[in-house]
Amino acid sequence: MRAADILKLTPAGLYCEAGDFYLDPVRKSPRAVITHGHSDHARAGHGAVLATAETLAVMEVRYGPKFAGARQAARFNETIAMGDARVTLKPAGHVLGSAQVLIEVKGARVVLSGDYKRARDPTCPAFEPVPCDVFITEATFGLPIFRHPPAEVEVAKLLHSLTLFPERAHFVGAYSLGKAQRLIALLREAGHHDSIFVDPATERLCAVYEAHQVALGALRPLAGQSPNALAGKIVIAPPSARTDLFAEAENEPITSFASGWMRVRKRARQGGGELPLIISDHADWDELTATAREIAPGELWITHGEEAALVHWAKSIGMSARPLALKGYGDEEAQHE
Amino acid sequence: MNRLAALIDRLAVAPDADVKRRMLAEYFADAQESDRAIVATLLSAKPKQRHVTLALIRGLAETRLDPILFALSLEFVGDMAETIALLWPQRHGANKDPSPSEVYEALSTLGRSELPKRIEAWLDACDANGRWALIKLLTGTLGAAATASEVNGALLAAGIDTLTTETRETPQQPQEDLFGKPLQIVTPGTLDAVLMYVSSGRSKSSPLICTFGAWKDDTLVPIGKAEAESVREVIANFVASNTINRFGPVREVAHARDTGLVLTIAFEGVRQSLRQKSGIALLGAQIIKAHPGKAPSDAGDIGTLESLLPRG
Repeated sequence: MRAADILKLTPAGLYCEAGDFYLDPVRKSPRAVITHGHSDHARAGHGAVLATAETLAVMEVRYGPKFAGARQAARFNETIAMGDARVTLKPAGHVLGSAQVLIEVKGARVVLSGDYKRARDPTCPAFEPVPCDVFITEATFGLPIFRHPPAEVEVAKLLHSLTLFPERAHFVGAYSLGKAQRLIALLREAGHHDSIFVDPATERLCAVYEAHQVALGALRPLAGQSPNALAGKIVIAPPSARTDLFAEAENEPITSFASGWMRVRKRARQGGGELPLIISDHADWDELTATAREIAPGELWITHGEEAALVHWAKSIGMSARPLALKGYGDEEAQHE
Repeated sequence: MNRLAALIDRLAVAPDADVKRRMLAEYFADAQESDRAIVATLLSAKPKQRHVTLALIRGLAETRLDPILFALSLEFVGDMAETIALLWPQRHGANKDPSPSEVYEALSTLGRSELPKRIEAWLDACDANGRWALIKLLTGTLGAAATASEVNGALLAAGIDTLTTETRETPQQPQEDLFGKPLQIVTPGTLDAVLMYVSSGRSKSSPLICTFGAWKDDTLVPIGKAEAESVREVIANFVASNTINRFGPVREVAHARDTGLVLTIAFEGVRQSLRQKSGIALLGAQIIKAHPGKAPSDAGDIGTLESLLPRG
């Protein structure tokens, strides 16, 4: 068996014939292995779902208890036989519960990274490089212009702004799964122990983190707060939650947006508010290339993102590479990354 | 430059004058004495002097970067100065980023030949935002970031009374350029020139640097250099069958009245140059077209360029 033959490209996504399952399928499928809970990867309505317990909990919070016909939780590094394939989940370092999927068929090995990062994140275990014949990587930030600064530096900017403008609320737009909790955990590490206000969707996902031993400190619901009570406080919510909330506030809030796209000035000016923060849960260019070098697979496949530059780079160092041009991923992150 | 860049970025999206004043006051309170007047001018709406062309900085960047990654990045970012700032490879262990006054001092003391090396060292020492602000400063393209009253208010709030009103109102831009000559107003244009020398790097993807000349009486004199870029293939083919001399990586190609390759050069301006035999240097030259069928005798002459030189 050649490793390159383990997975087939289908309209629903990558399919493993030997194990009869799909990976992060974008259509309802009989059997699915899910890398993590972001909605472009974890969809409702599959027959059976295999994922980490954390990812299953996220899916239940988002889609309700009937999100799949059957579910199976896998621990990291536990190998599960599926038909002629052996499946092992490995930490991806992207968000709580995020996993890479190692598939072994007759000694040939493929790893699907899912979304991943190598930068430190206090809310999930670190990415673990796994030797393999084919490494399937994402490339959301697959251009050498993307070099994320340390998230701690960006969080310090937010706290500094809070001291410079203590009479204003600081409204940080952040994706409700992953980004919000990492931001909260980093704020706590930096010594900010004041209550942080969150919208209902973020609050529910924070509860999943707390249930899995990730402490986030004092959180309070945003709903029902008078705008003036938020002066000098940090609010973390999707950007849409801001509408009208502050219409009657005495002082305009400082608006901020936390995303890897804030690296590019034009994007920051368009959507970053007054305080764009470059914080991403995706690997930047240096992490993508260092990871490919470290794993040194026989072939590098690229699922979605800015793949042309990464393919060119891989070929320039003699690594065989091809873009899969998968449809349906990254749509949500293009806005909310 | 890193702190100045952060200030400029925050001022650009500050919602009102009071917020701007607080940001400015905080900046000035921590700024070196020698930076305050310079920064006040840089933030203002006053026209800024161009110290070097963006093409020069791009040339520095291109020697360090893969051309395809450069092109893909430029396509995504859409702005040359920012693309270079983001792509410039970080050099760990570089010096501390320069202050605006250090940059100005070096610009007024360094000779033209020393400048590129210094710019590289500065770019190495800055973070991505600092590199962007540095490139905008060097190319004279920093836009207005605050009004004079916001800046003056902030200077007062920062407890600075050493700056006289006069200093604040006087542009810091010297009325002379780096080399002590009066500041020149440049005129962009195009000219047909003749390819004379081509220098190439070791790999197939390294840039081809072309030296071209214009007619002065019966001889061609070099007037500038530029990368082959869009006409690379035509030039490479011409070099392959018309080399008449080799000096290391540099090839001299046929350039007589009847044989040679005519190139259309676009330039941002013309200045007098003691370094060039022609006495003239093109600013921001780019090759925009090659004319394999054209006779070199039809190319332009030095007189055309001399007429574009600023008077005085």
